[in-house]
Amino acid sequence: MLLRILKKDMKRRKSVNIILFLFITIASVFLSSSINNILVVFSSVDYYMDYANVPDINLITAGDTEMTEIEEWIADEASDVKDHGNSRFLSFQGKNITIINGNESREFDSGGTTMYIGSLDIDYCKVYDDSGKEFTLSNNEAALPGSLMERNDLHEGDEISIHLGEKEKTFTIAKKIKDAAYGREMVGMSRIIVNDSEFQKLNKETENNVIGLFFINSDNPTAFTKQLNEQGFLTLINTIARNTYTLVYSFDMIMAALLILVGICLILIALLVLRFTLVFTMEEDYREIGIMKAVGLRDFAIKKLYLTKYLVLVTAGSLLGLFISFPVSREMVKSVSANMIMKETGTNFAVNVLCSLIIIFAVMLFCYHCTSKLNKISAIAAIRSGSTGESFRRKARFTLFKKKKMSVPVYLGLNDILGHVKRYLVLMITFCISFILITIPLNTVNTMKSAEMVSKFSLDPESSVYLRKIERPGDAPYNTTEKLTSALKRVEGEMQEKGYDASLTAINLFFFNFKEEGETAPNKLMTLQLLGPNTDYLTYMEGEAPILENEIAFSKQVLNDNDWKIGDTVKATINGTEKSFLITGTYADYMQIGTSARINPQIDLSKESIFNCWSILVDMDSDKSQEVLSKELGQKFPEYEWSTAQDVVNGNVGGIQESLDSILYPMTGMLCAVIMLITLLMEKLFIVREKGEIAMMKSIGFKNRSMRLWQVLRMVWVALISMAAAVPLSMLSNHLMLKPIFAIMGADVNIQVDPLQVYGIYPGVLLLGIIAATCIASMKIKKINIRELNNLE
Amino acid sequence: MGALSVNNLCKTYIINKRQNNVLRNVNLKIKEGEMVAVMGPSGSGKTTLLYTVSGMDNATAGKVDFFGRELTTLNANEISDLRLKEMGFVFQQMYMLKNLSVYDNIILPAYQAAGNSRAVRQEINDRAKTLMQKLGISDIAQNDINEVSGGQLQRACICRSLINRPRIIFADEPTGALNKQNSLEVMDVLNRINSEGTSILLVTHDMKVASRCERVLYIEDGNIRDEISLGKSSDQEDTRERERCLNNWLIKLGW
Repeated sequence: MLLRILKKDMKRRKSVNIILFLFITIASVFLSSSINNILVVFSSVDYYMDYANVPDINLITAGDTEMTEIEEWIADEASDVKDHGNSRFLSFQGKNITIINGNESREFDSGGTTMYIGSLDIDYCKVYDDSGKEFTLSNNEAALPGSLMERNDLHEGDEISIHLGEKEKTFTIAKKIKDAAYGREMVGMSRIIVNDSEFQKLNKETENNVIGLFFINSDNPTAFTKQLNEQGFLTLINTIARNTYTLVYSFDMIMAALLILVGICLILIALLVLRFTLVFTMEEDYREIGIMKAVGLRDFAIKKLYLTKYLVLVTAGSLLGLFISFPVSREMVKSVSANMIMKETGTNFAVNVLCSLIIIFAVMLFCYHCTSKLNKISAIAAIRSGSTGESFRRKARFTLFKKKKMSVPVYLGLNDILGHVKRYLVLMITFCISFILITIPLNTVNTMKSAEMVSKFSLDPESSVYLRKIERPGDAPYNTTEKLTSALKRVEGEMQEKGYDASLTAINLFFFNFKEEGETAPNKLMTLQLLGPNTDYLTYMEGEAPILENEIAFSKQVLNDNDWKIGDTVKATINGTEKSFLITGTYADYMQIGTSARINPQIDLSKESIFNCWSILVDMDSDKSQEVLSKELGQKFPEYEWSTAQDVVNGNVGGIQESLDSILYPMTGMLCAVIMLITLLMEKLFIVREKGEIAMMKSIGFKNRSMRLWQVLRMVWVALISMAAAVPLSMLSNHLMLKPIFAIMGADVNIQVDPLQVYGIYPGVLLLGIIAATCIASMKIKKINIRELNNLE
Repeated sequence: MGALSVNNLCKTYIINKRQNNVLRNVNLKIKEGEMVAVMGPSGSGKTTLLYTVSGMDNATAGKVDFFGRELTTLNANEISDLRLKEMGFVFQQMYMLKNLSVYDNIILPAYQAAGNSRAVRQEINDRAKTLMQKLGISDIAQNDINEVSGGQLQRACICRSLINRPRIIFADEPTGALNKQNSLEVMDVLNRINSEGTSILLVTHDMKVASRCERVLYIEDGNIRDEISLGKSSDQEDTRERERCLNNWLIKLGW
């Protein structure tokens, strides 16, 4: 009997069952494969770091003049050192690489990273071929990280030419490599590998371009860093912990995390729909349930009839999802393994199985909870009071006769919602979730495109355009203020010649130790100095900008970490002598994850080595947008790297903005599909429930068109109410979700909401989807015969 | 002028591949202002006849002329318009929208027919109030439909059917779900409406109800077998005489 009832019920609610089945299947695929992916990435990163022997601490020095001293200190004096090693890299600019294609050549795109050449003969931060094995290189051969090869559409066997100083050297690409430390563009460093003899040859020819590297494995990295800072090595420019490299790989989990979020939303929606259909079916079978109770069936026996159907549906959906999740998991792991070397344990499908079982259990538990309404139905009440047990008491006095202008379909739609808010709650929650979900990437992208975001990266959003590199081909990076000042003048002159009256301001980054009198200096702090006329655009939360020669400002994080206040004095060794600085202000930005200093523009740092010229602000009178100007100048001055503020921001957030931009349309499409399915399902159920009323309205002369309009307008009302509810909730999600995420980068930022996009265009697209789905479902109205009047209770 | 003229009307249903001829070449005429009852045994095709001549169901063959317009040639929208503006319907069950008040249910078809004009809506409200007063249900206007008695609800349904000043009312067992007292009240109302010039075609099992009509048709096996003319009913007339006459006729037909 159970099977017969089941079969009948499956047929009767075919479309509803199919949609529920789809939801469970998709949710099962998303959750199983995404959780699997996150676990795989999580466990593989450490393995990869160990495999490549990425050290606990990586020190970088400008040049190799102090390398012997540092090496001796590490070997003889530093404590907490387990093992250590060193190496050299040759730095050069990406534009100094040319891709050779037969007789033609094209530019190389370094993706905004600084390029280095390293030797294959290295014991730390090792590189491996695509299959994770060690390899050798002959003379004139080079190996490149996969990300750079893909970006430039390079293949093994292609040739590249590198311009170093006066020399130009051509290499054949022999291998695509996996580089644990410098293989990801987010690190900001990319390494080309050559064999040791080639490296030594290049090193001799280009001495100015060398950076030194020390690799230290330590029992206590913090203590080691503290000792290191006390030594005051002048050429030491940066200390990178292993965690920093590890962190980069966590971005591989972002897409999986997003899919988990979507999967959870789908499960929630499926549960809401399940509840609606279960309650609806029980109302429909109200009298039958009463009769079953009257003839002595126990509550659980009756519940079993309903639960069995959903058990079959959920199990089938979840199992299908499980089977689909296997290849999906494999593909996801494969895409992750393109960036790292993973344990040869294969994909752990037990996770997928477990996820599917949890879904079945959770959904069935929910279904059981929903059937509790059945306990309240008594045999007598069911048989005596109508066939649905539903009471039709109007909840609100929303009367038609008082509506002097409102059309009947508009009124009916609104009246339905006001009379049965609970019935439309499922739809409202679904629409609300969809509207909020679409605002998250939109607000993120808009925030990233905002002027405030540009300011957080220490740029002046008002500048006409930005310059990244002004070194002439073959020049080593300008690492002193003297070299940079003359280069700025040179570029200004060149621009003047071509009719651009521009002034250039360089944002230079140094690393200094700041300490209080008598205290030990903590880590070296990234210190920013503006070189040029535009020195007053940076903003401060408290206090004022450092202007005089003995003034400095620190980020809020630095003040908090060191318990410093505005008005305190700190000391730093500059140009070999210790100087005192008065703290005049504090700020919060994204430079070095919110821990940086801004030194006054007056102080002479000519003897200090510039770690990096962050960007060069180009200010001039121009009405052109940054995009137009950067393209125009790029054509007139192709030897320099011109960019917009957005290019700089995007380069520094690891292309997240680009990724979000690229998922915006697919995500809108997916959400649209989900809400269309839900709308279709619910509308079909509503029509089944309202068959009698529709027939009655037909009998008194309502046209199909009017009734379809009623159904569509009702959905439009539901959508509009949901949108209204989504506005404050979206603001809340900005505050609770987006703000903390941006704060990870080092500072709070105001989440930018573009009202036209967030409250207009995107919800409008979803609304169109809702209208289309309702129109499709309401076509059924035409088929309802007036004889269905008998269905009206 | 004829209100309704039916020629060779046929209606066939196909259920489980079996053909069921419910109406077979039915011919009938109803004059403007006439009140006609259709009687017959269960399954004889009374309700199907009512639904088919009112355009609620499509005819398989034959013609239905409604005040000079051929119903079978009209499209669905034109028939809906006719039903909305020129026909009124009263059913055995008091079908109304559950989440609207009695008053809103009554004015619903009128608001739908009139559009959004403020002046016309005011006029509809006045008309609805007059009708409700006439039918004695003014005091239940703002009640929910489950708060009123069956008789009151049926009178509300009649009010709704009259709100657009129809030229004819089709009533399917209008007193079928009512007790004796409520049935009498409803028939009084229908007689009054008819006396004001509205044609009525009703289907009934109840001899007392049929006896209040001007003419009674007897349908059997999908065809009108016979008819009897009882003349206009009036308040002063002794209804027992009409009932007796009808009873004799029905007995003759094997009722």
